[in-house]
Amino acid sequence: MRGHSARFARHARMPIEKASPVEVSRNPKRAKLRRATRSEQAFSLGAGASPRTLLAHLRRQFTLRPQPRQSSHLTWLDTFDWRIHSTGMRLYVCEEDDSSLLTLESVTGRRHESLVMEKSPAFASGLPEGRLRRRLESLTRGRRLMPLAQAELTTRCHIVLDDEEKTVARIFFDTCRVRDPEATGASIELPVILRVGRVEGYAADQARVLECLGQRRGLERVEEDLAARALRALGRVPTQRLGGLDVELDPSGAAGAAFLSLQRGLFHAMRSNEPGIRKDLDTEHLHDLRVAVRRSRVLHRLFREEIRGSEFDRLTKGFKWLGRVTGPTRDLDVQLHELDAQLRDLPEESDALLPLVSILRERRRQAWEALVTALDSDSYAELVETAADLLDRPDHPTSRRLASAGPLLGSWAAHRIARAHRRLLRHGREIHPGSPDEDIHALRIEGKRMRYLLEFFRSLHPADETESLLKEFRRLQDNLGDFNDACVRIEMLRSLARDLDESGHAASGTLLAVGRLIERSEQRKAQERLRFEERFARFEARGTRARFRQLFGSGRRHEAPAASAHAKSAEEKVEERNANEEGSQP
Amino acid sequence: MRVFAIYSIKGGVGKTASAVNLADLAARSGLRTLLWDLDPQGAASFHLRVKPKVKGGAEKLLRGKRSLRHWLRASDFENLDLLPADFSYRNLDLMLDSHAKPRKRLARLLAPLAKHYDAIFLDCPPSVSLLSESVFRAADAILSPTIPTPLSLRTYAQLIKHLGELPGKPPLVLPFLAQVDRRKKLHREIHDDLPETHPEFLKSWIPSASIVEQMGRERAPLTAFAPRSHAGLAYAALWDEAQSAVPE
Repeated sequence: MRGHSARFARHARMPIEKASPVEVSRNPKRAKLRRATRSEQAFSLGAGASPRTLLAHLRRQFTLRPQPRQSSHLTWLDTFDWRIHSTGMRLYVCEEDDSSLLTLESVTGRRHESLVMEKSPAFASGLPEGRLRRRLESLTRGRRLMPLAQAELTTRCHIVLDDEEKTVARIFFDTCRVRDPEATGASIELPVILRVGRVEGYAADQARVLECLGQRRGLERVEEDLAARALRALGRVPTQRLGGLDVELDPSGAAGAAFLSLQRGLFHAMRSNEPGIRKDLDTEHLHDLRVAVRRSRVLHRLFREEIRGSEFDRLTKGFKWLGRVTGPTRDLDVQLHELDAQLRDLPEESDALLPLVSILRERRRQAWEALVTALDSDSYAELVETAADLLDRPDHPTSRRLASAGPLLGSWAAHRIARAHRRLLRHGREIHPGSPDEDIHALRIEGKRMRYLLEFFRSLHPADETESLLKEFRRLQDNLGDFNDACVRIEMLRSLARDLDESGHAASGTLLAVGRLIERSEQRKAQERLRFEERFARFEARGTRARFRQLFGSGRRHEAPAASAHAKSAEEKVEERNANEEGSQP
Repeated sequence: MRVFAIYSIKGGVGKTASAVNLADLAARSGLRTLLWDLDPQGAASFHLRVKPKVKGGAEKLLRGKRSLRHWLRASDFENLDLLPADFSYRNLDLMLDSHAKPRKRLARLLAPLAKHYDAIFLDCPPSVSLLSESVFRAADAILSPTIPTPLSLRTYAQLIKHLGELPGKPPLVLPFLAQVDRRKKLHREIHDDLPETHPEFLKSWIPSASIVEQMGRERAPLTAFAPRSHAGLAYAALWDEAQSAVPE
C-alpha cells in the first residue's frame, strides 16, 4: 500500500531512543514486561537460527513488511591511545549511496553529533567549525584520528505492522564483514545479528515480538555494540594507556620489584610509540616516547642504590642518549605547534610569518630523518636488546636479584614523595620577585620529579586523596610550565630572527612580525611571573601541607626538633649534588 | 520551540489536512515535531495510522503528573511524533474548567516539551470554548484556514473580534485561503480581491484538490505521498511563509 516509506532501516541512522528507566508498577506482571523492554535488543544467530526461519516464525503472529536492503561501509576512528573510546563514545564514518556521514555517538547508540564529510578527517582540527569539531578537539587533544576497524554492513529491515498498518516495531538482520585497515589479511565475517527496535509509544509491541522470539533456539543475547564486536573480532582491545604506568604495586613488596614493574611498563610504552614515529603520523608519538624516557631516567635516579653497578647502568646511559637524539625533532614540533597557535590568534600575521614556518618545517624534516637514522642505528638496537633481556626475561639473574632488593616499598615510596615535597617547598620559598629565571626553571624541574613520583606510586595511595593533592599541584605546575613555554618561545623566535636576518633574504615585514610575537611572549612571561607568588602560596598553604603530611609523612628520617624548617638533611644534600651533576633536565 | 495552532470556528475548512501536512513538512526540514490531535474525531490520528486512544483519558493527561511524552507515539515519518486523540476530548472544556487557571493549562503542559521538540502543531476542534481559549494562550501563532466565501470570511472576522475581547495580548493570527476552486467565480473574485480587502492573509493558498482527500485513503501526509502535486507544493509554500512569520 502506498504511503509507507522505508524509514529508519539503516543501522547508522536508526533513531535509537534512550533506554527507558525501570518503571515501578503496581501490577508485578506488567512491571516485568516493562523492565524487559529496551529501545533496542540484539541477538546473535547461532545454530538452528536463520533469518528465514525466524521470519517465518514471526509471521505466524505478526504482520511483517520487508524494506529495501541497505548497505553501508563503516570506518571507526580513534586516537592511538583510544581517547574517544575511553569516554564511552564511538566515532565513525558511514558511507552509503553517495554520501558520507561522520558521527559521534555513545556506546548505547545515542547520537551526539553528525556531519556530512567528503573524507575522514586526520585530526579534529580538519573539521569545519562547529560542535562536532569542538567536541572532538576536547576529546582528542591534538592526536591523530586513525582508522581502527572497517566494516561492510548489510541490513535488512522488516517492519512490524498493527491492524492499522502502522509500524509498531522494527526487526533488523545485520550481516557484517570486518577488516583491519592496517592489515592485508582477508575480512572476517561476524555472526548475523538480529535487532528488535522499539517505536516510541509501542513498547508493548516490541515486548511481544521479543516474547515470540524467546521461544526460538539459537538466539543469544548480545550486549556489545557493532564497534565492540568488530574490534574484538580483529583482536584489537581498547586499553587506557597511562604512559606505561598502569601497574599495581605491592606496598609490602621490595622496592626493587617496583622498579622492574615500572621500568617494564615504561619501556613497552616507548616501543609502542616507535612505529608511529617512523611513519610520522602524529607528533604525540615522539612526545610520549620522550615522556617515557624522562620517567625512566627519574626512575633510575630514584633506584640508584639498587641498580648501581648492574647491567641497568647500560640502560641509564642508553636512555640519556635516546633523550638527546630525540630532542631536536621534539623541539621543532613544539616550535611549529606554538607558531600555529600564535597564528590562530593573529591571522593577520600569517602572510608575514610564512617564511618562518617554511624554515621550521624544513628543519623539522631534516631532524626527523636524523631521528629515524638513530632509531635504525646499532646504539638503539643495543638499547632495545639490553632492555628486553633485563625486563622481559624472568630468569635473568640481575632482575631476579633486583626483585627482592631494596627496602619495603610502601613506607619508602611515601618517604621519597614527602622529601621531594619538602624540597619543592624549600626551593619555592627561596624565590622572590628579583630571582633569576633559572631559579623558576629549576623549581619546575623539581616539581616534575615530584609529579613523576606521585605517578609512579599512584597505586599505593587512596585515589581520591591523591587526586585532590595533584589538583593543587597541577595549578602550580601549569604556572611554571607556562612561564617556561614563554621563555622557550622567546628564545626560539630570537634565534629564528637572527638566522633570518643573517640569511639576508628575510622581508622586513617578517622580521617585524617576529618582533611582535616576541613582544607578546614577553608580556605572557611577565604575567606568569607575577602569578607565581599566588600559586605557590596556595600550594604551600597549611591545609595542603597537612594533607601531604597525612598521606606521605614528613619526609624526615629522624625528627630533629632543633633543626630549622629550611634545613636540609645530609641525605637531601647528597641527592641535590647528584641531581646537579646530572646537568640536564630529566 | 514554536507552537502552531490550526484553528477555525467552522468545520470542514481543511484544518486537519493542514495540520498533518504542515507537521510533516516541519519534520522533513529537520525540526523535531509533535502533532497533538485535540479533536475527539481523531482525524489527524487516523491519517497517521495511530489509534485514537490515550490511556487514562484526557483527565489523566490534563492532571499534569506525567509528561505528555508518556502518551506520544512515533509516526512512521522521521522526526514526527503524535499525541493521539481520544474520545474523552469531547469533554475537554469541562475538564479544563475543573483546574485552576484553565486558560493557561495547555501552555503549562506543553512547556516542558521545549527540550524535546522544535515545533508543535495543535489540530483543534471547531468550537469557541475554554479549550480554544487555552489553545490561544499556548500558541505562538494561529493558522486559520478560510474558504473564499463570504460566510467563511464572516466567521474569520468573528474570530478576530473574539480574540480582541480576550484578556491579554492577542496571539499572532496567520489566516490563509484553503480549498480554493478558481473555477468558481465567487472564489476567484474573493481570492483576487484579498490583498486589498484582507492584506493580513498569507500569500500562500491551498487549492481544492481531490488529492488532498486522498490523504484519507493513503493515510499519510500528502506531502509524503504526493509532494510534487499542486496541493503538495502549495502546502510547502504555506509552511515556508508561516514559519518565517513566527520567530524562533
